[in-house]
Amino acid sequence: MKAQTKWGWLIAIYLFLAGLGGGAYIAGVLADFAGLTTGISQIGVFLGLPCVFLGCMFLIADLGKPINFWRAYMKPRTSWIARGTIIITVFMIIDFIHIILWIWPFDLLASAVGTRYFINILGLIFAFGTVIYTGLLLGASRPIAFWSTAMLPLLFLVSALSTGFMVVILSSSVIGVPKEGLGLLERIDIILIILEIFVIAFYLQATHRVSESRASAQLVLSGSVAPLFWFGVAVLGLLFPLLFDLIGLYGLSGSSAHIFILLASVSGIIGGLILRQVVLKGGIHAPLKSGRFEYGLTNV
Amino acid sequence: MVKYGFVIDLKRCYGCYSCTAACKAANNTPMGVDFAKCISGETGTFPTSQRQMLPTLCMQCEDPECKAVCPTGATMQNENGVVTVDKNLCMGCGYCMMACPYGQRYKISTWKTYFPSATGELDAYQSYSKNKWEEKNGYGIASKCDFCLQRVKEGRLPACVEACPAKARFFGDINDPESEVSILIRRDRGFQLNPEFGTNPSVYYLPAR
Repeated sequence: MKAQTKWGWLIAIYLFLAGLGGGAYIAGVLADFAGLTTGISQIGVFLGLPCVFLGCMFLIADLGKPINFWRAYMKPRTSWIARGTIIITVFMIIDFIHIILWIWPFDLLASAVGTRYFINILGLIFAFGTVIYTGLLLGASRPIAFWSTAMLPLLFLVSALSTGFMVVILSSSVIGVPKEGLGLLERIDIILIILEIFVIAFYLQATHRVSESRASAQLVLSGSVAPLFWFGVAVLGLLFPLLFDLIGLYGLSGSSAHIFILLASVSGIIGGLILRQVVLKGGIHAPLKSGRFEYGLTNV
Repeated sequence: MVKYGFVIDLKRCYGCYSCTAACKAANNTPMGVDFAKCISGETGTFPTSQRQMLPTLCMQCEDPECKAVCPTGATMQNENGVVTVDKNLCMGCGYCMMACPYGQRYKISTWKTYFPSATGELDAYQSYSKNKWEEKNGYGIASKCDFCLQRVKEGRLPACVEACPAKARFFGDINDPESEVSILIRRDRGFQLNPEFGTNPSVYYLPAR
């Protein structure tokens, strides 16, 4: 059975950027609550808006009739695309306010800690909404058993957090923020990567066990999508980041440790993008069953 | 309330694709769009293999997945249960194509001709067909079977029903227990495809027996 071909790289890039932006914002806010160096949390908060906005550009580019994109708000009662459009719009507005009042051009929130924490929590809610709703959106496609599983939003959440932390670590290192706070983020990131390994393993095991999604799981594990999965997700997205992070944190020291951490972050971020594409390319619609015959769909 | 439904008799269908051709002619669907398409299926191995053609069309579900997931409200359902797409509202996200369990939503990026000429020019018939298609549909947006609502309003049958030489397709009011389609469903054990999706399709199939 063939997988769907309508949602491809443009959608994968959007899913990835929405997760990355939301995850970076969450990392920034958590760093703020933990009292880490201001620079680190500001980078996280700052990255949220451009990443999600850029993602939306890819989304609009994928539309068949982009001029109607503003109509996407119309049916939040039943449609996850409509709900998601509202969620990410609110997130971007909150992040915009957060950036203006704290990072540039104003500095009001530096001292108004209560207000800042309030904005933090508000932004946190919608950032979580941004990274989770995409899993629920795919899950609403009931005939695609590979997507309509409870594990998918969890998978997208863990991947978004992991890549979000990585991009904050990466950006902070590139800009030259003092390193003390980064150590905590790097340690949390290792835990997130390990968590992600488990979640991906459970996801593939669960979808393999259920007969409706077995064809999809086999496509990803040993079929045409397997090279993308094993090299792009398992190695680039999970193995290399874990290994390089461990080496960088506990094996080496100084500038070579630094380089390993950067490599881990870059590798993990690329892996996050490829994970979204793997999920999309594994989407097989359930066949139509009539009597003893099964018919695959031909329109997607 | 009249609820339009179909009955397709799988014993009579012998896979001639007349329904596909008639629908294409009546609705001027371009290449890549087949509102009334037939899917061929085989089971078993020689010498005990079997073939069965499955004619499909939009099931006009009572609780359509496509309508639920449409973010712009372009997908609507009229009082007779027929689901339509408003070409001015659709943004072409393709969510309906993922959500439809029966594969009956279509989206094409451009009009492609079945009869390409050396110069690329369209003859009068193809121009006419292209214009008729663009009246109710477009490019980059979703399109689907609408049970030939135009024809039904005039008191005619959908094109595929009229065209079927085996008289395997029936159209009528499935809310009326005495209509031809209701009687066929009851008497000949009409079934729905993949009812587990819970959409309650309005197209019933009579088993090949």
